[in-house]
Amino acid sequence: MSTQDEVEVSYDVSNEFFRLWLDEKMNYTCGLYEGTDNLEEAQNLKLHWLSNAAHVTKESSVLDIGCGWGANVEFLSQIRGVKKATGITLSRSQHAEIVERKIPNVYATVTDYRDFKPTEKFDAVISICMMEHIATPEDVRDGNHIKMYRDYFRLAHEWTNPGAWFGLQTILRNRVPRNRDHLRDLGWVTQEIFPGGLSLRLEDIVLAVNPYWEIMEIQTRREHYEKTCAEWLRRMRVHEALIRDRWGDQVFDDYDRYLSTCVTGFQNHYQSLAQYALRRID
Amino acid sequence: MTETQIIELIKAALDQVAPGRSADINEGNMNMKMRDLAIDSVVTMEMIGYIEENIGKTFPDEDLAQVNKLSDLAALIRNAQ
Repeated sequence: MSTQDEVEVSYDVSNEFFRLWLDEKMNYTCGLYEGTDNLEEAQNLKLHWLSNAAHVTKESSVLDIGCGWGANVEFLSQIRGVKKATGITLSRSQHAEIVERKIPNVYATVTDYRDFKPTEKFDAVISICMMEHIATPEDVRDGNHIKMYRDYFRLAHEWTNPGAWFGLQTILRNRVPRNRDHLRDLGWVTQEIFPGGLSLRLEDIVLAVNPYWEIMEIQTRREHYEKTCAEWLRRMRVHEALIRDRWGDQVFDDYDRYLSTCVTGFQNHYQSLAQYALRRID
Repeated sequence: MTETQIIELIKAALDQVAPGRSADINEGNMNMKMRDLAIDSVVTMEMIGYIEENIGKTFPDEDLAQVNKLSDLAALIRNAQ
């Protein structure tokens, strides 16, 4: 599992820095470009897809595991009108942003999901690109990752009521690059931008959901993530002078390399993205 | 391919991506972890690319993240025959 320090390397550069190039609600995950070329709309469509996958209704109490800066809990409260949305994150900056937004019916906590002890069960779960922080590259090399992913699904099962659904989104590892430059760039992103994390392979999910959740639907969205990253990169470059001035050349250069590597990664099938509708096995 | 040829191929792969390092590999340390030989995951993948090109086969991607020891790499080559 990524430590708090590692997670804060990934997400705590500065909320103002990320606000410059993410969409207005600060979704830091793949949007769903269906019938739109606009990032804000694509992020909204993504959140709708996941809420639908989790069978969210106005009566639902929903848990968001790895809630980022709160885009999804805000969406659940403001757009889907849920009874209650609870978010957990390991990043203190992200938590501060959620508190700042003062969203009705939204509760957020800084905690490791393994230590989370909810007082009430949830009707639905959503988790967007958090599973990448569960197993380190060393865990995967040592063959411990499936057990760790299964434990995550076990906890989500424990925290929910019978009949619950789970809207899940994960980045996928697919082809391993053989090109030296691509290998070095991907290795650098893994070590420097997302230390302690590694994206999953699709078969990892298929193995690990049992015996807790049934996979009802899977959609892969590789091209959508390529498009999302390309748009983040475009927006960030618009603010190059400001970023270099406020956060330094290293931050701009590192994020330029990282986002460019992601675009290349999705183009070349090194990575993909999947969304899942899971039904609790009661 | 014999075990000796497999080890020679692994040594050639390491020399290709990290010249002069092949002396680190011998029959006696095939069970050592790559990282204990200071071979990181990127170098490992570069070695795999060289080996694939050399033997004209592509290893299954799902097996690659678990290449932990030199013997895992040898097993990949053996299984690809």
